[in-house]
Amino acid sequence: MMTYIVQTTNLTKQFDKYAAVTNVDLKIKEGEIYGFLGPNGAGKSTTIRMLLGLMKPTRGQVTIFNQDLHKHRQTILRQVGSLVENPSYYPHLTAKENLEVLRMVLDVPKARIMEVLEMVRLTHVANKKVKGFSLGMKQRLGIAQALLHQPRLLILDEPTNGLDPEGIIEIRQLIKKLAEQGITIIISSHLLSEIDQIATTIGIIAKGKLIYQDSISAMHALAKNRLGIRTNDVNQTQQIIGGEVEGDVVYCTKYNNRQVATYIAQLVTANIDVYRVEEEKHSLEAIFLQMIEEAEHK
Amino acid sequence: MMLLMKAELAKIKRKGFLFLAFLGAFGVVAMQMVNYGVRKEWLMQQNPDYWQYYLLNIQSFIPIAIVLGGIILTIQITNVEEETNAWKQQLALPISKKSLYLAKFLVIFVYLILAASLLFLFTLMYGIFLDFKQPIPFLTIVKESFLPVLATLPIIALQLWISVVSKSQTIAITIGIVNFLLTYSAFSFPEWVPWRWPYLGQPLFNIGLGVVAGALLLIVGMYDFYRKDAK
Repeated sequence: MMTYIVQTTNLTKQFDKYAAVTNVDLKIKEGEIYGFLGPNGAGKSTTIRMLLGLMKPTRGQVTIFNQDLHKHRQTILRQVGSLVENPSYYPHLTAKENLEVLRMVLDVPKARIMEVLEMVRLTHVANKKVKGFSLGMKQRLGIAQALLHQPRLLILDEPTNGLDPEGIIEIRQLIKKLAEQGITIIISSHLLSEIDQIATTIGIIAKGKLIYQDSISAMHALAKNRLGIRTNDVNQTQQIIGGEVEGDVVYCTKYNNRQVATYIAQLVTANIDVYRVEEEKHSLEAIFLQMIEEAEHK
Repeated sequence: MMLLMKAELAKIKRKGFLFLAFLGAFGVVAMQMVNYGVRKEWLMQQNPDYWQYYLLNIQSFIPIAIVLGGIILTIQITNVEEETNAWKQQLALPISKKSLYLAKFLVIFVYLILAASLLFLFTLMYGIFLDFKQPIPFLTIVKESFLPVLATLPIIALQLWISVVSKSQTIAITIGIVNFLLTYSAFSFPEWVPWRWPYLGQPLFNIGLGVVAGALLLIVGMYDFYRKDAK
């Protein structure tokens, strides 16, 4: 039997008449970076809040570390670090004091504070009030807070939201480093490119329903690439290499390096002018959008 | 619980809680400093028991000081969580929701007791300074300083409950102002009205009801907070 570090069954959250999350079955294995992807308002944060016990599900069950969250909330949360939406901090306290507040509750050694500050590279502002921090620094402090008690599972809700490109890259590298240490990470985002670059498994949620869940490579396999050849004679080109014509470009879907070389040689021999040979990636983005669209029309 | 209370104290660092406790206690006595400073001789003619009359004067300002102070403390202690919605972070920690609520209440209580201790000290000091040449009624000063806190517990528990569960602090502040005004004008109310209790018209009755109603409101607030989803 496959064991999952996080598993939800029929997880549902109903607000009055509006269903925010419907029958979501998450399956997350140990050591994964699970990318939780969906447009804004799809139910990502609601799901994450239920994973942390911040919200009680209307229906369904959350199992973390093979324990029922409802029954063993405190034991489970002792091993979970989280950053939900905007970072939470006490602006009138310094970075160190902010961590100290959590340290007391979590009961970890004092030295751990400097360790986590080092990890997120905030040592130089440890004694500055958080009020004056940039958004990126606040976000990093949020991650430091989440790491304080050396969690086995890290849940990050939109950790790169509002960051500049440099900040995004920095957080991405940090997440990869943490994953190498064996921490299971759930990271939510509304940006596919973001998830695509770090996740090992992907779950897509739209309109409160989980519409896709598999490894990132499986999703890549869905994305078919094609080769476009533009010449001065479309018809003759098609006769030689086959494929389909779209405008003044001939596309073929099955090709490897050897074949491409042969095609070009054949075209040249036939005295056809080859203008362009381009590989066109049918992007993940397109597949993602298509999935979302299908879900929304259901 | 001690850990949680320590964490609460760490959160409100530099928020002026100590200063507020000092100011409340000092303010009440300072009123009498002005009063006795201006017309000591006239006041001494009002009652042959100088200490009793002095304490009576002080006592009239204690309830509004405690209620106002308590309201400010409850709003401040929840406001630290509201500012950046730290509730969601606190509630994702391996602690019980009820304990977090209780820790906040106890920290407010500790500050009120601290303010009461300062009030005792200031009352005594200025009384000695006034040099009444009569025996000092220590026990009465202790009672006068500490007992109103117990009679104020229902108002504090209600304020904390509202502050913690309401979507906006504006609601808590509005109700706080109403509570303050009702306490201020409580003299015209019958004895059973909660805002009248801190004046200790009938000490045993006021304190008994204060503690019971305070505990009840604390428990109801705690369960309501526990039941609700995090903000």
